[in-house]
Order: sequence, then structure tokens, then C-alpha cells
Amino acid sequence: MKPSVLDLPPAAGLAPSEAEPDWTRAAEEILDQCGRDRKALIPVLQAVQERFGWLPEPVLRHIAAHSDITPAAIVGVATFYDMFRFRPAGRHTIRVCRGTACHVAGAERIEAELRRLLKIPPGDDTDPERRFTIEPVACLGCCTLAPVMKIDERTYGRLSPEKLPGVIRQFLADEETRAARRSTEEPRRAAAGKPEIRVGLGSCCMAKGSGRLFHALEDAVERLEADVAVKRVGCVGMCHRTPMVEISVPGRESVFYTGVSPDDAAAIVERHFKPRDPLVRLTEGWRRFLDRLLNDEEAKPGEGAMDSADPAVSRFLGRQAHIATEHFGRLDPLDLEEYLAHEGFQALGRCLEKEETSRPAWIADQIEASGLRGRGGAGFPAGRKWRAVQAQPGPVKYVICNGDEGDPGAFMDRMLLESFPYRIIEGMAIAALAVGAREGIFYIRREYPLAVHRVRAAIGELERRGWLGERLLGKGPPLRIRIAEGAGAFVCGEETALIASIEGRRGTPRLRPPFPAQSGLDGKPTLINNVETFALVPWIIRRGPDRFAAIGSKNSKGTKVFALAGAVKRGGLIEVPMGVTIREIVEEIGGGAREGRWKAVQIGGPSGGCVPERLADTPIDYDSLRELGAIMGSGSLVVLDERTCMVDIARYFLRFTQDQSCGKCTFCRIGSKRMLEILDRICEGRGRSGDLEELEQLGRQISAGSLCGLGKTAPNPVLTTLRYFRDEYEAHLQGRCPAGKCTALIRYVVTDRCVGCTLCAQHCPVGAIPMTPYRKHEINDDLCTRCDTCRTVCPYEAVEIR
Amino acid sequence: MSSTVTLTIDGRTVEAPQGATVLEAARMLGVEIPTLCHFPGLPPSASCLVCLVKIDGRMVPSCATVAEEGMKVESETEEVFEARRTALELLLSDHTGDCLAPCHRICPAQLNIPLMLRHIQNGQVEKALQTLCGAVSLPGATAWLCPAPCEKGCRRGVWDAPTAIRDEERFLVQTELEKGWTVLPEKDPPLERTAAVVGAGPTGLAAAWRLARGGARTVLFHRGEKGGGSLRAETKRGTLPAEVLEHELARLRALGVEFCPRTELGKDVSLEALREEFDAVILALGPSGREQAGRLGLASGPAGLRAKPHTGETDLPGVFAAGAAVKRTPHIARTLAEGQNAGEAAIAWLRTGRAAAPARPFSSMTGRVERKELPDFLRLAGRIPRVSPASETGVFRPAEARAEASRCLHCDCRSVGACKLQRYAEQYGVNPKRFSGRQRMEIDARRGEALFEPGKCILCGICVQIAERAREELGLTFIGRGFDVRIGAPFSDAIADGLRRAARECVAACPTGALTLREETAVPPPSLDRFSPTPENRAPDA
Ligand SMILES: Cc1cc2nc3c(=O)[nH]c(=O)nc-3n(C[C@H](O)[C@H](O)[C@H](O)COP(=O)(O)O)c2cc1C
Ligand code: SF4
Ligand code: SF4
Ligand code: SF4
Ligand code: SF4
Ligand code: FES
Ligand code: FES
Repeated sequence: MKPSVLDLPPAAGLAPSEAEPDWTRAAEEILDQCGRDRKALIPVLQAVQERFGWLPEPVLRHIAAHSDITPAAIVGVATFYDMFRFRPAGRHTIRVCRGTACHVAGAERIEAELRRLLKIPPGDDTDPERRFTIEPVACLGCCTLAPVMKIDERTYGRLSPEKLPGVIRQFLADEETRAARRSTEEPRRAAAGKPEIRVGLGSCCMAKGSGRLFHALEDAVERLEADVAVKRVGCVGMCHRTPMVEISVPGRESVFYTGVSPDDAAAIVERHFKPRDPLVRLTEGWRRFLDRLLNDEEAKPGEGAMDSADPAVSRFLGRQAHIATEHFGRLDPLDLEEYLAHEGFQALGRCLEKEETSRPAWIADQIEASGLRGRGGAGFPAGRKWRAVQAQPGPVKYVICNGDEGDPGAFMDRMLLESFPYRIIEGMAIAALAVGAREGIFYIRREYPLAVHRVRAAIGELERRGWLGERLLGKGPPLRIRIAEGAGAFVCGEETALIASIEGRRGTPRLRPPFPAQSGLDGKPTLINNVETFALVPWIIRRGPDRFAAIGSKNSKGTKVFALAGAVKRGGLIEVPMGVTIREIVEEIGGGAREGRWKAVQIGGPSGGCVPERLADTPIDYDSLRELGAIMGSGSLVVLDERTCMVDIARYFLRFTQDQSCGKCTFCRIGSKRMLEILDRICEGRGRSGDLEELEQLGRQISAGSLCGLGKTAPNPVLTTLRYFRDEYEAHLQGRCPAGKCTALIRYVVTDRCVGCTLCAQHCPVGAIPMTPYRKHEINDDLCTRCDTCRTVCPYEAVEIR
Repeated sequence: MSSTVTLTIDGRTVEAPQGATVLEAARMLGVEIPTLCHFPGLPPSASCLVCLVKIDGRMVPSCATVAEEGMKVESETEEVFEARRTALELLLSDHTGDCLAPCHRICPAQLNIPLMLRHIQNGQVEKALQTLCGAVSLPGATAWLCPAPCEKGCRRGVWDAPTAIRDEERFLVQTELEKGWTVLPEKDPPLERTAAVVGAGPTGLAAAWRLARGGARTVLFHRGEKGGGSLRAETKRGTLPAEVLEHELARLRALGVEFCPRTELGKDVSLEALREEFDAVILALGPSGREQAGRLGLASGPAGLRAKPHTGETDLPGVFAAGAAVKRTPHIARTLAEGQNAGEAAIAWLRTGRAAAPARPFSSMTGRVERKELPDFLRLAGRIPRVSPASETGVFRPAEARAEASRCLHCDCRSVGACKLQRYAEQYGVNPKRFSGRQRMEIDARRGEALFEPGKCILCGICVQIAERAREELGLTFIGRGFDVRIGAPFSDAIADGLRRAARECVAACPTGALTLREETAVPPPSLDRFSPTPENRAPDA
């Protein structure tokens, strides 16, 4: 057998330092910084983890002994959230995406191969030499590059098992030469009327090298002394084409370049801003780049805000309509002046102009009339919720922005927070005026560091101007806004769990009623809305509720942002009017299946369901989706083609929810586990008669009996696939996986087309194919791990799945 | 605003105080709703969800739902029962524990072996005899003749060797003989009904024992002089001491069984006459009974006289048959059980007109246990090898009996009878096999008075809250998330460290047998100086 393990150079300086760190001092410093109050618990733990990379017991014991935090609280909370470790981690962290798009594209094989390669023992996450720690993550937000992984800050996409040794070697080599990187985060402002080179710097774009591109462009501008500003803008939505550059010259139509690499930077600058020198020779990079110049309609994201409420107009605009993402791709996320220049804070200003006594009712009227429903999943009418909080007595109330987005195929909220922090703060401030709250809290997942950073910077800027704090916008009532960072628990997106988490407790949901509107944070009336919900508010106030209500369908008004991914040609973030059909999204915006036929879309992530292609003419709105057994959810939309096994997809989502269950109530904690066990055995070819009926019965009981939305919706992916794709389940019971995905039910075989080129034997990572030049190769089924490498490398299509 | 609300539960109206829960309102009406995680005085946790009711088409936990004016609650409906049953089935699928010890379940007479052993270990021989004689009709016969199937299922056997259960029984009966006691089972009040048993072999004796215990006036008709049937042959063979058999017959007489010797069915007395004279008749005719069936007007099948399994009912109302005439039994304990079961069925028939098979209490079952799961349990047991009687009589001396009894691992649940989970499982007729799963079998018996078995914990959190309320220094907490959540003291300390003050309160509040008191097990193992522990038997911390 050929050597299958990487020869990694010995890790230098890896051994944990011999001397015991001074635990007591560290603990004291952290307590001084975060406070000794019970509520400081999560920030305290986060600080300990930041400091040591894990939670050493001596530190925790010291904290318990020298603060109001009890040992029981520390252990209960620390073991609840995923981010906390109890063992030291490796020097590098490999985050392997387990998101939906990556799963469909074979993420499991990547993870298995990585573990094998790095010799990570089963049940562990770190190799014995503590070089690498593997950490599965829900979604890295680069779904269009699936499967994706991130080693420390570097993202690697379109992976396959055979590419991994090279990737790791490359990473280790790069690591030595990596220079300190400059920050892309200081606001850079262009003088009005000056040309700009705009680079998308959302984290998905950054993942694909926008940061380096940004610096390369800056360098080029400096070198060529071009009179142009290089400017950071928020997410551009077209994730399948990033990094993307927009050349904006006042008075002229913008030009877009997509898929730009740092090598192209000089060429771009030369082309547009150095026309004086016609003798500049086009470099090789430039020629390559010209090939990729894009001129079709999808390259024109900057059409601006929708100017007409006429649905026909919005359809004309590539079926997209930008309200939450208004001015996307044009605003520097942190440039307050620019936000103001684009009607920023006008809506809030208008609210503040209203008489103080009639103001809350007026705002709630606007929101109610707009028909806005919550974008966090359940679609509860926002106006009704605001009124409910408004009606509560008492001086202390809170507003919370739910930015915990945990759906493994969704990153709309992250994009909104990263690109439009001022807009969301404005929406939240309007809500605070409406309900009478003086404190607002952003709850943002810790996995979104850029979002946290930008929101924090935006709050800081507003405070400096005196627009937040004592007087809202310098003239209104007080409003303070702070950020609470999540610690890695999907269930904390559920509003009562979220509140528990802010209070420094385990994030377990509780029974509603009472709703947070009646008894929320610290038992006070609390308004919780989703990021996107708040992002829509300023537009509604500015343009009037009627304009908003004119868009969409009967019971679902306005627009919805989706993360479109999977087997489509063009994936990315889109904002569409409610009521467009699934088919329009997949085939018109997404450009249809990348290969062959698409057979279903998964909408709503782990709480949602799979809608078959034959029902694709269903309009996207809360009620129609619910009728199909799916839900709008947070807005992930993954297109599935013939190569996706529906049983496997159901199992994938159930595994996610089962893993993320808080473990409180019986139906979800044990029921979803039992369901998963049944699905496991079906996928492994050990299904029994009666299994499908038990799945249905138990699924219905879990939906009916669970305490919170997580458990109530967890069976949806299983129930909808059973409803629309029962034949696939039955095939599994008979020992067949029609999509050729379930490894226990398939075998790789070499057919007579084989010419004996030995490529498969060279690439098989486990040496399951003996090298037999010029003769037909054979696969040793006992060794084969079903990694699919042989099939992909064979130039003669001689490897088949049976 | 009025201070009460009016709602209906299953169509019945109740007026409940403002703020009362649906559960409290239901209790006012006498509607019983099961609860596990609810504890009066603590805020609702609403986690077990066995208290589901249906309101407005939605299933909600009644313990945490506040009653509102005009609410229509469904509680006693099949749909609600099914949801509660599923919750219980799910909880039990993740439950590692045995309400009844495996040896107890295997014993055909359902002798509570660990309880008996605890009495022996504590030196309470009379109590041990009471337990024995309350379950086994002829304890002397089993003590000498039983092949001890219980020992084959004994968990201690997975570690070293099974507890010597049969030898312990022999020790008890021998002590009884030596002291001149005749220990009788508890008797029900007189029934004012009469029953005849035909045949004084072990089956007939066992049936008569059960009938007499049940309060029926019982007459035992038999062919021979003294009774005992096949047991006589055992005394001749020397496998059963004659005095033990006499002692058992005396016990039956003391219990009130009237012996009618030298009376053969079909010759000296007819079945018709017996049916005329007695309210119930049990035929325990022995192997020869198979040929008699036709003459008696009873149907027979290939194995023998035809009688319903479990109850022994024949085609003739009020006539029961059991023992070798119906089906050969493999050993004495099975034989006695057949007789006792027929007796029990007949008692039910006398009482209610319907013969019912003896109900077995619900028992959760752990299933096969692995050696590596046992060390923690050994902390509660004597770490000595199996004791054999030193004297040539083959009977333990008291010190030996106590030492051997201390080897029992107490596989039964200390909470049986008090456990709500077990009670509801029985009440709701759960199917423990609907879902399968098993956690590791564990016990935290490191120190202190509280014992904790995580496998039996349903994560209600009552103990966590009580510990917090009691201001325990360390306290208890939930650890982990999702399916793997468990209860424990912080930092892997012992449960007892977390419960310095509130142990007793928590044990009393725990709805299952997850938290119990050490003293409920047994006194510490007696002085074991005579028995030097072998390395094999040493528990890991010793
Ligand atoms: C398991 C679970 C996860 C959730 N995750 C989120 C989330 O990530 N973001 C969000 O806004 N709402 C989430 N929700 C919904 C919230 O509970 C809540 O309904 C929402 O934040 C309300 O805001 P909206 O009315 O603007 O939608 C989740 C709900 C459940 C049950
Ligand atoms: S449904 Fe699941 S996540 Fe929600 S409370 Fe119950 S166990 Fe927790
Ligand atoms: S806790 Fe209850 S159900 Fe569990 S073994 Fe003990 S008695 Fe049985
Ligand atoms: S150890 Fe005790 S309780 Fe357990 S099976 Fe053996 S005798 Fe019975
Ligand atoms: S040990 Fe505690 S949490 Fe577990 S069942 Fe008993 S009281 Fe409930
Ligand atoms: S990046 Fe993997 S699914 Fe989103
Ligand atoms: S949920 Fe009501 S008693 Fe447990």
C-alpha cells in the first residue's frame, strides 16, 4: 500500500509551555474586566476561552470562588455552548463546513479524509501532536464554493478528498511567509463626485480573497498615481462571482468585473484610470481577465432602489427588489456620511418629528399598515407584536435584534449586519420609540466576527456624535444599544432561549405564554425582531406603508432575502418580492440546474421542508409554503438535483436539529434521536418494515408535543420527503439508494471501459485499487471508503457506482 | 376582574382561582394528570411533557399553562393518552435501570431476592423469612430442590460469581426449623367462598396455599395418606430432608388449608359433587391426570388436559387445572408457580367472576450488563468471593449467610413503588419495546448519603432547583446539551459533594429512583475479616 498519510514537517514550538500559567492572575484580570456579576458569566467565559483557547478548571474554580457566579452556573453554561472547550486545542483550527450546500457537495467525505490524513483519533478533534483541531461549523457562508473549509483565516473551496494533502501542505508553507496583514476596516471616504473602485468586503467576499484584492488595488492606485478612491462596500449578493469590483465614474455607467484575483488589480486600474498611456502592454493576467469580463444582466447589481411599487417593474428588474439591501454594493458599511447622503436616518428623523404622545401609535400604525411580518421564520405580524409591547405597563422595556442566524444554509442576516449596520440600528431605534424602550441589544452569533465588529463600530460612531445614549439623534429620548455575543448554540435563536442566554444562563427555551412581549429580558416587556425585519423598517417609514404593502402577495407583503445555493448555475444572496414562484427563483434568477435536472428545493433549512420540482410554481409566501409542509424559515434555499438522496438530506437536517436540541423536553431530546436512529438504519440498509410508519407517527408526535419551535419543526424535513419522495425511502428499504449516495448501499466498480491507465490507483487515498498497468483495474471493496475519487479522476468514465 | 376563571375539562366545568394552572384546575375536578417534572413550590420546568393536555387543537403541558376564562381542555381522550404514552415510552427508551432485579424477574415465584438478601445482611432473619414465605408457597422445597435459574441471571455473576441465592433460602428455612417458627404469608380477609383442590403434589399444595392466602376456605383432596406427591420421592432419594417437607405441610395447615386424605377423584368423590359443594375447583392431578380428562368430561390436547395458559381455566366454569396433568414443568419453582398462578386466577374468579392472570408489575429493564459497568456498583457490595457453606450440613451459618448476602449488587431500584415513572408506565400500558436505546449503567456512590444513578434520571431539574434554593455551596447543574445532557455536581465532583444540605430533600422530591439514599440499600457489609479479598474482587478504589 502506498503511503497515504501526509509527511507533515514537525510542528515547531507547539509543545504547551512547560511552566504552569498563572491561573489566579488570569482569572482576576478577566473578572476585573468583565465584572463579577452573575450576568457577566458568558462574557467571562468568552474571555477565558479567548485567553487560553480553552477553559482550564483552575481558572473556573477561582472565578466561582471570587465572584457571584456559582460553580453550578459555570459548568452548566460552559457545557451548553459549543464554543467552549475543555481541552487545549491544536495550533491551527480547521473549520469544516457542514452547511447544506457543502453537505450536498460531499462535505462528509472531506471531513473523513481530513481526519484520516491528520491522524485524528475517532472521538477526538485534535491530532495527537496538537497541530490541527477540526471543528465542524454550520455554514461558512461561501455556499457557492461548496464544499468549503477554513484553516485559521484562510478559506478553501471546491474541495475534493484528493486535493486535501496539497491544501494542507500549501497552508503550512504559506504560514511561514505570511506577513502581517493590513486592516481593511478603517472607513475610507471618497470625495463626492470622485470616481471609485468598489470592492465587496462582506465576509463571504473576504473568504474569497477580497481583502488581498483590496490591498492590491490600493497598491496599484498608489503606484500608478491614479486619481481614484478604492472603497470597501458591503455584500454584493452575487456570491458565485466574487470577488467583484465595480468601477464607478460619476456620470457614466458602472463597469463590473467578477471573479477578480489580486493579480488583476494593476490591469484594472490601468485600464480605467491610466488611459493617457496607450502603450501599456497588456499583461498575461489582463488577457485572462478580459475573458472573464461579464456583460450580461446579472452583472448589474447597482440598479438602485426600486423606484416603482408596480410589481411589473420589480419583475423587470431581474425579479429582484432591494429594500433591506437598498443601495447594496454601493455603500461603505461604516461611512455614516454616506449613509446620511442616501436618506439614512430620515425615517428616524420623521418619527422624532411626531408629537411624543402620538408617536408610538403612529409608528405602530405604519408598520401594521405595511403588513410587515417577522423575517425570523415564523412570520408573526410585526405591527401586532410592537403594539403588544407598547401596551405593557412599566418604565423598563427592551428591544432585541435577533442576529443569531443559525440555519446551516443561510447568511442573509450576517450580510445585512455587515453591510448595513446603520440601517438596522435605525430600524431598531424606530422600534424602541414605538414600544418605549430605552435599551437595545444586538444578539449576534460569535461566528460572525465581522458583523460584530461593524455593528460595534457603527454604535461607537453614533455615540461619538451623541446620536445614541442620552438623546437619540441628539434630540429624542435616551437609547442605549449594546451587543451580546452568542456562544454557539442554534437554539439560542429561539427568542426565550436567546433571552436566557443574554441573562447569562443556559440557552434553554421555556414555554410561551408568557411571550417576551409580556415577560422577556429580566422579566420586562421585550420586543424581539429579526435583523431583516428591522432592516425593512426605515424604508417603510420613509416611503410609506402603502408602497411596501403593494409589493408581495395577499398575506405576505414586501420582499424577502434568500441565500440561493446548491445545484444552480448562479447562487448568492437575492432579495425578491414575496409571491414570486420557486421556479422563477431557481430558473430565472438562479439560471436553472448546473447540470441535468433539478428535482427539489429545500426551503427553510432544518425547520423547513423539501418542495418537489412539480410543485415549483407555488408562490413564495408564508402561507403557501406552510401548506406544502415547508416554511419560509430564515430564507435558505438549496436547490437539489438528481444526485441528491432525499433520505440522506432528511437525515442531514434531522442530525443537525438533533445535535442542536437543547435537551430539555422529552419529545425533542429523545424523540428526535430515535427518529435519527431509524433514518440511520434506513440509510445503512438495515431498515425494517414499519419504519416509515413509525417515522411518520413519531414525527407528528414530536411536532405536537415539543416545547419550542426547534422540536416542533425538526421532523419537517423528514415528513416532507416522506410525503413527496416516499419511493426513495422504499428503495432504501429494499437495499437501493437511487441517487447513489448512501455509502452502505453502493459499491464502486471498474467497468470494461477501463484501459488500465492507473490514474485511479494513483489517486485512491486508501490504496484500495492495485496498480495494474494496461489491464482492467479492480477495486478492493473491503478497503474502499466510497470517497468517489476514482470516479472523478477516471478520464474514461470507467468507474461506476452500483 | 374576577378572582376566578371558569373553564371546562373534558366537558366538565370548574372554577379555578385566577393564575391557577390547568393542572391545578384538573386536580380540583379530580381529573388525574400524570406529572414528573412538576414540583409544588418550584417554577415549572415543563420538560417531561407527560402532563400534556389538548387546548384549542394544540398539545400543551398542563403544569405550565395558566387556566383562562372559557378554556376548553381535553384530558381523558385517546389522543392525549397516546401523546402521554409516547412521552413515557421515549423516557423509558433512554432509561437504564431495573425496577425489579433480574433475579427477581426470573424467579418463577417472583421472589424479591435483593430485598430478602438485604434483610439477611442486616441480620433480620425473620423479615427475610417473611419476604420468602410471602412469595414462595413451599420455600423448603425450593431451598433444597430449585436449580436456581435466578442465579443464572445474577449480575454479580458478570463480575465474579452469582450470589448464592438458593443457599440463602436454605439458610432461612433451616433457621426457621431450628427456632421452631412457622412463618406465614399475610392473609387477605376471609372471602366467604370455598375452594377445593384435588392433588397434594407440589402444584396442588401451591394452589391451596394461594387460595388460603386469598381468604377462601380451602379443602385439599388427595389420594394418599400424608400429601406431598412427588416431593415424597425426593425425601426418599435424600435430596429433600423429610423434616422440611413435614414443616411445609404444617405451614399449609397453619395457614388454614384443610387436608382431606385418601380421597380419589372419580372414585371417592366426583367432579360434579365437588362443583356442587365448592365455588371453585382446582385440579392438580399430576402426570396421571392426562388420561383422566375424558372421564371427567374435560377436553384434552396433545400435551394433556386442556387449560388456558396463565389462568388454568378449563372449559367448565369454575374448574381450573394446573401442573403435570396440563403440561410438564421443568423444575420445582416453575411447578409451584403454576399452582400459585391457578390459585390466584381462582381467587380472582371467586371475587369478581373473572379469572385473571396474575398481574406483573411494570419493570424497566436494563438488559445485558457489561463487566466494565460494574465497578461503581461494587462500592455498595461486599468485595469477597462467593461463600460456600463450611459445615457438612451444606447450610450457611449466620455469619456466612450475612457475608454472602453482602455480595448482592442491589440491582433492583431503591425507588420501586415510589417511582412515578414506573407507576405511569404501568397505568398507561406503555410498550417498552417501541423504541430501543440504552445508556451506560452507572451509579455515583463515591461518598455521602445520596446515591445517584444517571441512567434513571429524567432530567426534570427538580434537584438542581432545590439545591440552589438550599444555597448549596457546590450544588448541582445540568451538564452538556441535547441528548447527552446529564445532571451532576460541577467539575465532576461527587453528587454528594453537591448535596451537603439538601440530599434528603432532593431524594424525596426526585420523581424516579435516580437519587436515593445509601441507607435504603443495606447496612455496610459486615465485618469480612474471615474473607480475604482477592484482587479480582477488589473494587477499583479499594
Ligand atoms: C430553533 C429556533 C431558531 C431560531 N433562530 C432564529 C434566528 O436565527 N434568527 C431569528 O431572527 N429568529 C430565529 N428564530 C425565531 C425567533 O424565535 C423569533 O421568532 C424571531 O426572532 C422574532 O423575530 P421576527 O418576528 O422579526 O421574525 C428561531 C426560532 C427557533 C425556534
Ligand atoms: S423542543 Fe428541543 S430545543 Fe426546544 S425546548 Fe424542547 S428539547 Fe429544547
Ligand atoms: S427509577 Fe422507576 S422506572 Fe426506573 S428502575 Fe427505578 S422504579 Fe423502575
Ligand atoms: S446481584 Fe443481587 S439483585 Fe442483582 S441479580 Fe444478583 S442477587 Fe439479584
Ligand atoms: S436526579 Fe434530579 S433531575 Fe434527575 S430525575 Fe431526580 S430530581 Fe429529576
Ligand atoms: S459554506 Fe458550506 S454550506 Fe454554506
Ligand atoms: S411538563 Fe408538566 S409535569 Fe413535566
